[in-house]
Amino acid sequence: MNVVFLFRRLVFIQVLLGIVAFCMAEPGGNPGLMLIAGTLTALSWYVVEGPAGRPLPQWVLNVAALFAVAWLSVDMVIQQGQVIIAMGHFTMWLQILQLYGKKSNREYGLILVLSMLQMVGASILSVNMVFGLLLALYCVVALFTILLFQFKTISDEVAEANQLAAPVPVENARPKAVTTRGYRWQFRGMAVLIGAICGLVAAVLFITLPRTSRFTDLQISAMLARAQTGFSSQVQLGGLPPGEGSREVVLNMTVTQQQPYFLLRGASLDRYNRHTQTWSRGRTIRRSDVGYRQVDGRLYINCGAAPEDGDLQQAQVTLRQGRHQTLFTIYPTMNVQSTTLSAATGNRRDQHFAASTTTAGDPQSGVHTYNFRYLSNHSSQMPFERFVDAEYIQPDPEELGEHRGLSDYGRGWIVEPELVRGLALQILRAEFKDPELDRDVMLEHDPRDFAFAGALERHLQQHYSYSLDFVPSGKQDPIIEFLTISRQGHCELFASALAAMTRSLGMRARVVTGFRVSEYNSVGSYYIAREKHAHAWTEIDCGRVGWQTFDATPPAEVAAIHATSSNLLTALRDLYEHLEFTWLNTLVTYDRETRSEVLSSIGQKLSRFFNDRSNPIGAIVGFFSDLPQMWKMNAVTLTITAVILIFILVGVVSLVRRALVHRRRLAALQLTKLPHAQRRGLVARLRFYLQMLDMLERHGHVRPPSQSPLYFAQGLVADHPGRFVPVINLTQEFYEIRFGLQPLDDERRDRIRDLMKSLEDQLLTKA
Amino acid sequence: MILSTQRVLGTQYPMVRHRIQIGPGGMVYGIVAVLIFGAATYTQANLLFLSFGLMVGGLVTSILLSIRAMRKVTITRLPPSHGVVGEPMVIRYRIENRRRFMPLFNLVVREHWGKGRRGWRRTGPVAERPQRLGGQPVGWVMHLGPRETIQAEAIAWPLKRGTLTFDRIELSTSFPFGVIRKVIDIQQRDDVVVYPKLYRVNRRLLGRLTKHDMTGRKARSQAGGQEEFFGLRAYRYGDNFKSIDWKHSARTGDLMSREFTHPAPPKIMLMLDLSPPAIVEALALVARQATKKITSERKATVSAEPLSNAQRRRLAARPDPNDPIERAISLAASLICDAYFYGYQVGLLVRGPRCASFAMHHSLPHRTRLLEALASLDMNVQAREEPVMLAEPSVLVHPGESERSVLGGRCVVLPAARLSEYVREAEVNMSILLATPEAALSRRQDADDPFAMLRKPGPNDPRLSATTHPTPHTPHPEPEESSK
Repeated sequence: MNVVFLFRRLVFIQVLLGIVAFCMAEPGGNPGLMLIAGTLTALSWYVVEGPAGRPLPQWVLNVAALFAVAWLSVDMVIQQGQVIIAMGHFTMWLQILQLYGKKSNREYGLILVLSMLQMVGASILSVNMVFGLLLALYCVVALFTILLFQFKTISDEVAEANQLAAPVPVENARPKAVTTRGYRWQFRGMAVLIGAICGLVAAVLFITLPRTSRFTDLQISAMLARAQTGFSSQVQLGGLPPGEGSREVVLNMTVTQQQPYFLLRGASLDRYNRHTQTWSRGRTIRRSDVGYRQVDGRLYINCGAAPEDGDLQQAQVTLRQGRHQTLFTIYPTMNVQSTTLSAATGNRRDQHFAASTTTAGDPQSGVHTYNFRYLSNHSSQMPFERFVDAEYIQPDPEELGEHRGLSDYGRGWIVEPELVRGLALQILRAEFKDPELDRDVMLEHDPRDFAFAGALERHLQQHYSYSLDFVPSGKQDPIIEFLTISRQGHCELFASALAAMTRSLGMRARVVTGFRVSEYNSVGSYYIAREKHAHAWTEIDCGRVGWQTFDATPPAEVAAIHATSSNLLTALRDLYEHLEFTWLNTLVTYDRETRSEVLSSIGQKLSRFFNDRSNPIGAIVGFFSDLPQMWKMNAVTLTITAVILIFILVGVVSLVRRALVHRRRLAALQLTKLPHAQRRGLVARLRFYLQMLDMLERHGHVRPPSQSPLYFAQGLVADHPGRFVPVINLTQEFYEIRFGLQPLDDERRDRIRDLMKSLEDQLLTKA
Repeated sequence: MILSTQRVLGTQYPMVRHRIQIGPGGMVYGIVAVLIFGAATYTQANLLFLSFGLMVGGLVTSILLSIRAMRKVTITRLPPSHGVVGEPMVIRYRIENRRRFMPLFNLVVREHWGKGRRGWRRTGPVAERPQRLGGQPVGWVMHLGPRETIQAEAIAWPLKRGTLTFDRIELSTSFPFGVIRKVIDIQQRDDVVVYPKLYRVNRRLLGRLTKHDMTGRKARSQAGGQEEFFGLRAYRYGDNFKSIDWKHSARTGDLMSREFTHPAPPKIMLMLDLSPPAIVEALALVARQATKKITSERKATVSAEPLSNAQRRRLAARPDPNDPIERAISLAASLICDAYFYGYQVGLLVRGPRCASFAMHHSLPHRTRLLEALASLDMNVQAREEPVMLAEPSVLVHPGESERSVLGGRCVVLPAARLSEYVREAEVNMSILLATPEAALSRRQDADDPFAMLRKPGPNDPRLSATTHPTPHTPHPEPEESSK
């Protein structure tokens, strides 16, 4: 094994891996830097280690180091004070420079430390699973690199010692790697063993190390937020269409009752600004928001009592990104609870839930999990008034232009109201074939509201087309343009148009944004919401039946866009996404609460195991725990019994030890084949010989098993004349006792003691 | 930090010391681990907690392996038979791992003297002034499998003739991460005789030395050998049949045997004059030449390449290569070696320090005795009387520069001050002189032909003849012819 060459290669690979991992860990990735730094690193192997390679002159490296420092300053400005990223870049350049220079062990050590620090920074920046895999790979490479570095440093140390000791310069002072057979496999096996122990200790520490929530307001996740595509808590109708959206996974949802698709509700938008052409959440309703915090490690938001005949379902959502502070639920939600969220806000009137911006979840990852319950069938339940029972808030006078008080919440349309109302009535009259059909605008509820809303929804679905490419002209309001001229658009326009028409008729309506979740991961058995699944629909208050969901967007076209193929690639993608979900769920989201849960779970399992009388260990523990009760012992007798037991235990251990020692001596003296009675006496009498062998062994004189005692003694005396004479005499005593069956009487014992003393003196004196 | 423990195995003779040391690598490891822990605590990033766990795992592994390492490992020094000043001396160690499953990696073997980790810098041959040994001999074993035995090597560079005493062996390993170093010390004292520095003597000089005694160039005038035809005699019972001269026997009718001569190699009776007058003359010479020669050399060295302080200290600690007494002893030893190499019979007389006298003889043990006598010459112990003249000295070596013989007669005088004229640059390692002539010849041929070792040896290959048919000492191969 060419240690030096292998080590150089591993250092090169480690640095390359570190650079790639850091570039991947940067927010949004940094492919440009990865390409440049990776190319420079790869080139260093050819320039320095290649056939005609040699290190660059030191002055070139010094100049380059100055540039690196300058780059650090510039980087600090570019990254807007993000020290971790800037320092990561700086360490990256330093490593590359070191790779191009002449490297002694000091430089190699520097490269390794810099690379590790860079990976520490990358671990702060990213929680991506791919980065996790790279980190694991890096750890394996680093393990082998450090092991080989040990070999190299020792080899260099020996070479240097040889060089210094030599009176003349020695050309090749490096020692040859002395090995025995099977060294490659044994080295790999040892590396695997070390890795396994490290992994085990790391797992234990990872689980048990306490976590804090002290730095939850750091909002590093906000720093990492990328450009938003897909879901938004506002709907802006003017300008460019929202586009199809990315495939990035936003959340995973597990439900008790599967359906073809779910409308996962996010933001509830009740205010339309005619100037900015934007739907947003009104200030009046926001005043009804209530803050909730964890109590006893659990956050609980109650939205009202579930009706007795309601079909209650449960769902669990794991948000996988930190940028969406919205909690997505299915309408109507009965309650929300979480152990990972420390605080949240909820509004029972419009069912708007959001993670608190200052204390929500894990700030580093932005990943949090919550459960909620919802009614799957609410056609005859949940009137709006059910939620307006306790906390009535006076409306803000400034908001009266939109809806004057809560009695006017979500009602009235102000952008060309007559035109929209006329259009709505025209549709309804045609639908119901009643030319006189009308609805009083001032009427809060009409028994036909549900039918009216359904008719309008159907009309839009059937007579308007879905298009992601349509761009409003900007000459008039986008909703008016959509209803009267273009008759095509995206989901937000459909939802807005339905809301506008129903509002113009005097009904309460609001636009809701969220996700239309239809993609199912068969590996993990959960639904996935991606950015491209972002959707908008309408909620309309239908009087007695309460707020109902209406999706005016043509369903077939949306379903076609959201449809997934079932082939091998899809299966692989599902597997990858499930692994990533598992990674996030187990490793990244592990926090204080999860830790306490895991530890208590382990404690419970252990307790259950030890208390289970059906297994042997549990039976033993149970027996001892029942002992005081069984024998009716008090504290004193219990203590005395314990002491006696300890003494018995010590006695048993010493007996076992003695038996082992006896067995070892028998083997050493080759007495195993003698009768038992003869063995015992001989072992006691020949103990001195084993002591003599021990003494000699400590001075480097080991008797090979193949040598007879006499041959060994003669060899010693021949090699060291005069020094080991007592060995000859002691060996003679050994033979007399062992084969001559002589007794170990007092005279012989004294003689042996004198000989042992003499041998000790000989060994301690200088040869 | 050093944690020291003594291993007691049920007896009262604890001689193997076990130590655990935390070196600079451990410090760096600890600092990096603390940094990662700080970052993990500050950011609460789970990946950092995992990384910190891995670092702690590495530390735990190091501790576990250090505790288990070196158990059931024995090491024995196999000292060389001798060393030569200025030549590398290979010390071998037999290391045995008696464990069943656990291999050992990255073992470092060091020779150690004195107490403490750096005791060898205060005590022992490296600490002597001038140094007896150039540095601490260090060996390295990359891997030692379970139930395996291996031989490790450490190279020592003796700088001074005499007896080199090895005190104890230190076996250590810092595997896997260099955080913790486990050390065991084993007491084993061994003495190795270091011969004086050896040179290759100029062939002309050897030829000149033998010219003065013509008896050395002819065969001895008596029968009984195996060399050349000496005469015929009547067959005696027990004579080899091969020696019967059948033609002559047929002519005379009686069985006649052929007799052969004994070889008579050249002889040198060497006298090394280290008596007080000779030393005084040599010291006076050194004093004269010191200013003009040695100083100028040193200045030239300094001007060529400035020496660091460490290099200066090292140079100052080493023996002076221009010491006239040592040069004279070296010249004598070199003559003995070269003479043995070419089959001469050599004797030795020493004037001055106490030393035995050796009659002329040619054998390996004889040469070893002569070299050991020269190696152990102690200038502080002067002989009370002149050496016993076993034969008239034919060569006189003294440390001065005069070619005038104090003995008179036909003695050749070789002043050590003119050592450079008598010796030549060695083309191969000087240890060749200490091998048997056949092996040396073989090595020289291999040195001339670098591919010789790669070829399959033929039936007449000298390597085969040297190993399978060892022949007694061959006579001198006519040095004058080669010099002509």
